[in-house]
This record gives sequence, structure tokens and C-alpha cells, in this order.
Amino acid sequence: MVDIDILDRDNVSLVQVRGRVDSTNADQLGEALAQQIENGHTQLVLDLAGVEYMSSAGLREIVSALKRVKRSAGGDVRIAQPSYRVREVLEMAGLDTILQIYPTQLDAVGSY
Amino acid sequence: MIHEECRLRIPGLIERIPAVCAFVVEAARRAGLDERAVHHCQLAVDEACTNVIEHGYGGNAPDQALDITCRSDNERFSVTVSDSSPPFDPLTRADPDPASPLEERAPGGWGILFIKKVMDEVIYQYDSRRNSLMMVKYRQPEPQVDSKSKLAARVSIHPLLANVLCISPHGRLDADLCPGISDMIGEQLDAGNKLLVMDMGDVDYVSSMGLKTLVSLWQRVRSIKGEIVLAALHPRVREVLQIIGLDLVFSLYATPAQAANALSKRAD
Repeated sequence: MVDIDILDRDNVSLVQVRGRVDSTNADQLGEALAQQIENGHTQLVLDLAGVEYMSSAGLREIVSALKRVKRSAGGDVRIAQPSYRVREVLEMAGLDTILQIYPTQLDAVGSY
Repeated sequence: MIHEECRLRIPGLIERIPAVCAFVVEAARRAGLDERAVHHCQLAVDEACTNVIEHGYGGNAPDQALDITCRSDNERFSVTVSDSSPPFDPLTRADPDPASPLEERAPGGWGILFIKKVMDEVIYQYDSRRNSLMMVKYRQPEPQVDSKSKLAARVSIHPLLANVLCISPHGRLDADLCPGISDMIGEQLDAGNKLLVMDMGDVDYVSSMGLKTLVSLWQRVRSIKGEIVLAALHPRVREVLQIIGLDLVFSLYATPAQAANALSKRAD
């Protein structure tokens, strides 16, 4: 079960994700991100505060989106408030050095 | 003493994997694993089943089955996933490199590495026309009476960069844990390690004693011209620190890695 809400914050798309992100639903996250990018929103914040579980299927979508937004100037995917469990998964794939991770939603949105 | 074996069979459908996760989480909890180990077992079985269905069966295969068996005894808890796809030993596959830059990364392919990283032992067998992958978690040794090893189970210390040490308490930062942490950090300061990151990612509660300890540690580190910063605070814990203004005393970072980088830059 995953819930995805997208909010406009100035020039930043704030993507709030809640629930489990795994191989049954990671494509929903991928599609939500792809749609933002297609609409020209390449400054993304992924708020993961409500994600209690994420498998490599979720990371796959985040990395795909990151690769796409990096093609446009100023484009980035930044992470806000991942839980300890999610952070462990990000770290295992070395994504904690590739993605910018922020302690709060405000910090992440304000970083652009 | 717990000896148990339980089995679940599902059709080869991705949508059935959450049921496998729930089954394994329950068995791991019954076996007495801590929540971090329970999460590791869940992640491992999820990645294993996803790989079998996506690659072994080439997508959803309602006519094929996956069998999941959980076993526990005094020493270990194991999850075995077996399937009837063509023989494939996932352990022979080359691991992706977590240090590779974004441009050189394929987005996926992390599942097997995750299994190997989170579990203590992974064994592949092909027998009677079935692949089987056994993923093992060893039980933590029983807590010792010795206070030092008891503390070691709740606080870990490891270097983050050449000159930065990371201290990770686990659980509640309270009267039970604080004297031990103070002593532990004191030893590090005496040994000349002055740049410290406190990884709060696994701390879900800080008592008043915990807050007092943080302040006195900060004073102590400052007095010898060192630095101590906090990383990965839970929103709840961050709120408590903000209420009493400790967020103005300590620099806060999202991750230990970011904290270590900042500390080591400042030290240059």
C-alpha cells in the first residue's frame, strides 16, 4: 500500500510518500515522478517520513528519476526525513552520498 | 528454547509478496529477533521472491509456485525460498558497486547485494529440479552480565572518516544508557579523538537525563577544542531538542556521512 501526494512549493515539486514501497507498487512512484518531470518539474523533493519500508524496487525508481532530472540544469531529486530503516537501504546502495538528504521537509524544499 | 518450522506456498505473482513479508515478519518476531533483524529478514525475502518472479519466472506466473520456509532454533533463524525456475545461483552474480557515481549506475540490480549484506549467511542449492536460497540470521548472543558488553549491544562506535568517530546509541537515551555513553566517549576523548558524530537514527526517545548528558558531553568536548554534532534525529527527538534550545547548541545533520564531511572540512 502506498500513498503519493504531490504539492507545488514555488518551483519545487514536493512528493509525499506514505506506506510501503516495494515491487508491487514501486511503479506508481516511478510514474508519479516521471509525470512531474514530463511536465517540466525537475526540482523534486521526496518526503519519505511516512515510508516504513522500502525495498530495492523503490530505489530503482528514485535513481531512474534522478538520472532523468540531472539532464536539465538545476534538476535534482532531494530526500527529506527518511526513517532509520529507509536510510539503511539508501546507505547499502551508496545513495546517501549521491542523494542530498535533509532532516526536514522545509530544509529540503528550501535547499533549491 | 524455541524450535519452529513453518511454511507458506504462494503462486508466482508479485502481488502476493507482501503476504510473504507479513509471514516472515511474524515468524521472525516469534523467534525473538530484534526489530532491526526482523526488518532485515523481511527485506531479504522480499528481494529474493521479487528476483525469482521477475527473472526466474520471467514475470507473473500464476501456474508456478514459490515455497517459503522459516526455521528457528537456539542459534539461528532462517528463511528459505525455493522455486522451479531454471537453475540460477544468484550468489555467482557480480555485485553492483555502492561507490559508483550516478552516471555509471544501472538503476536496479541491488536486491541480491542487499540480501548478502543484511543476512549473516546465504546458501544456494539446486536439488530435485528446484532452486533454493537459504538466508540465515544468527541470534545475538544472550546479553552478558558484564556491563561493558551489555553496553556494546546498545552503543556502537566506528570511524566515519580518518579523523571522525561515529557513536550510535540504539533505543532510548536514558538513565540506563547515559553513564555508559559518557564513559565510552570519555575514553575516546582521552585517546585524542576529538571529532564526534552522534548518530541518533536509532534513538527514539531522549529522557531528561539524556538531554543533560548531551549538554555535558558538548561542554567537555568543547573544553578540549573538539566538536560533537548530532545526525539523523527522529522528528520527535528533534522537537524535544528544539523546545529546550539544544538545536542552537548542537549542529544537526541529516545523515552521519554529511555530519562527518562537515566536521572534517571545518577541522582542515
